[in-house]
Amino acid sequence: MRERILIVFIAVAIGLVITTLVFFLYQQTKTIPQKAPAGSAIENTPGTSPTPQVGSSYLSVDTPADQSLSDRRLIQVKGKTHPEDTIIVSTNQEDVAAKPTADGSFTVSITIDAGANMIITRSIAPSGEEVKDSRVVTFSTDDF
Amino acid sequence: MKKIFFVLFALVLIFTVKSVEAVTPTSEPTDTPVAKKTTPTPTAAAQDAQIEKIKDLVASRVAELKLVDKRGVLGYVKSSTNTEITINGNRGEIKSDVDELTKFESPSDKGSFGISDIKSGDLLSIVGLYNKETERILARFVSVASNIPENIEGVVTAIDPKNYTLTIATDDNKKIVVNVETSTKTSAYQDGDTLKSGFSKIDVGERLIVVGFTDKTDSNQINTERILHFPGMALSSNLTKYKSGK
Repeated sequence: MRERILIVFIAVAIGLVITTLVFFLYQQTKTIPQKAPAGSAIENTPGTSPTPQVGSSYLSVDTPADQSLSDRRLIQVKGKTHPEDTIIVSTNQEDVAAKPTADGSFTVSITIDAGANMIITRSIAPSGEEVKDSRVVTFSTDDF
Repeated sequence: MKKIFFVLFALVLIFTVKSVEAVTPTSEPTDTPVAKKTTPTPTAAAQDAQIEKIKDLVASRVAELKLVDKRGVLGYVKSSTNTEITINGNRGEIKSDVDELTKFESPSDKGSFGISDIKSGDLLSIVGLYNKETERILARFVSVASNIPENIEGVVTAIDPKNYTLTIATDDNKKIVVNVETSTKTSAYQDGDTLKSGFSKIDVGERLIVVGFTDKTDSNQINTERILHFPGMALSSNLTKYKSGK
């Protein structure tokens, strides 16, 4: 009888040890899945044609994000296109023309108006074909 | 035998206590930890409850900040009620909620402008808090966007030097009359440079971008603020038919 009790006791003790070990191992290896933020598809929406294709125009505008707010009047429009294209960026206030670098990236500094601004970026290929991207940037210093 | 029992009992006790310790949160460092641990007074309990409440508030605020984003949208009013405005933006329909904190502004109607003055077809700029889950914007500032000009690209099909007007054809085969005024700023982009230009330097068949406002009496006319023309630049396939003018 005593031996039986001893065996049961040892079994319980071993069970507890194993459970404790498994618990610690689980806690150390557990990873919290990174949930994609809702609505991320419309955040920082890149340009209209993000995939560069040989022989056809493409334009990808990285900044500013569509529907974004800016507390500065001078903003930078950054993106990528074909290196031989001509970039024209227009706001309510001015038009700025630029040539992209050898890898096709471009940065244009442009002035925006108070309130809402429509930023229109055109990439015109030497063949005359163009790709256009329109986005809204609002100048606001209001705290809310 | 008794010794073995005692050792096993001690082992079980140690492991049980360790497991409990692993799931017990670390105690907060306090000035008088001994007093707190031994006899928790009602004040200490109240403090703990308050700390928990603050923790919950911070957690919910963090979640809220991740879910909500400050945005500015622009679009033509589709419909409006006392609590909601629906606009058509450049990327589709946007619904915005209006509450007692929403401020309304119109350059032409200062002071008394409110939600009841908003009409279908008005161009509105709405700045507020965008909820990524509901995909709605809680409007904080609503203003009539009268400062947004038309930005039209096309090819010159006719020039009227007498009336200082240009007729341009757009990509969608629309013909628009462009009124060039004395205040119109004209520039030319050629060989990588933007140069100062004028009405007389614009030719038929040239590509150009016109920025201005639609004439109040004739919707087919644009009163131009700026013209950027591109001498020698190729036309897009949709516009090549207008190269020689009409």
